[in-house]
Amino acid sequence: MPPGQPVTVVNTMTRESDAAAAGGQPAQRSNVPGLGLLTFVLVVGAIAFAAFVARDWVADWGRSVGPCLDGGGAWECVVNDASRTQLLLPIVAVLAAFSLARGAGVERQQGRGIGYLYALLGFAALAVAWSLGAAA
Amino acid sequence: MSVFDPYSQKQQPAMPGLNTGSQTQVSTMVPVDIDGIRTNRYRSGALSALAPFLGYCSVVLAAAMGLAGLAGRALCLEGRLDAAVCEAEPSQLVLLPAAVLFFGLVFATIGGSLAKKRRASGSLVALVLGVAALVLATQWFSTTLLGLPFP
Repeated sequence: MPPGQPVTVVNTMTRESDAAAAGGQPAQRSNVPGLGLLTFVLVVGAIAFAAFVARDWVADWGRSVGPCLDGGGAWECVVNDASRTQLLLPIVAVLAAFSLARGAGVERQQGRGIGYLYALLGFAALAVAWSLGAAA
Repeated sequence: MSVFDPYSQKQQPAMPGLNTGSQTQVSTMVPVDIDGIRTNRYRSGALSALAPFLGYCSVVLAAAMGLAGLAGRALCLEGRLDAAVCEAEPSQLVLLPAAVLFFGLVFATIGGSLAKKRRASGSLVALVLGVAALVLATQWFSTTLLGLPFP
């Protein structure tokens, strides 16, 4: 072959050896069985919590504002512990569950097991909101 | 080792792996597909969760601020309340929730976009700035504008 001619090289290396030669470590695609189902259950659970539990709390809080104001109350009728635990906290918990479900979905697409942690944190947020709201 | 080319009547340059027996040093010079995602090229699930949460929180907080300002003004007009909200400019009670909504959504969008592009540090900075903006706005709204406990 005369010098100066372009050299054509047929790549016959394996993909793993290519990755090592390119300086990157081939990531192992780990299976995350059940994470998709867990994420789906988290989203459905958050919707159910908002529709069947938190809705009653919000209605109770709304019904309590009028009599409180009629009884001479003022700001404490609007902002109190009940409004925090039965109005604000359930909303934040449901939104946190949705966000963590999204994070778990992102991790599931990449095959990373940390998505289980995000899904469990979402369930924990709903559980904490439920327990505090029920205790109020 | 040298290789004689009978056509050009010259010595060929040694090209290991091509015309001499050794390991090739010729690079394919093309990107190579690999299995899975390279190390440090993962998309962060935590940042992907935090970004929409910041957006949701800014919407909820802006709505709560607006309703609280409205309730405070109504209580002031009825003479039930004597607090800083009674002397506050109505425009402030409107503009601050609007600013919280705007900046919260902007920072959440920036953070989410950077997280999607796998720029974790930039995304984290945007989300921290957004959270700090929401916290400072809430404190200022509670202490200065309302003068009442909020939320």
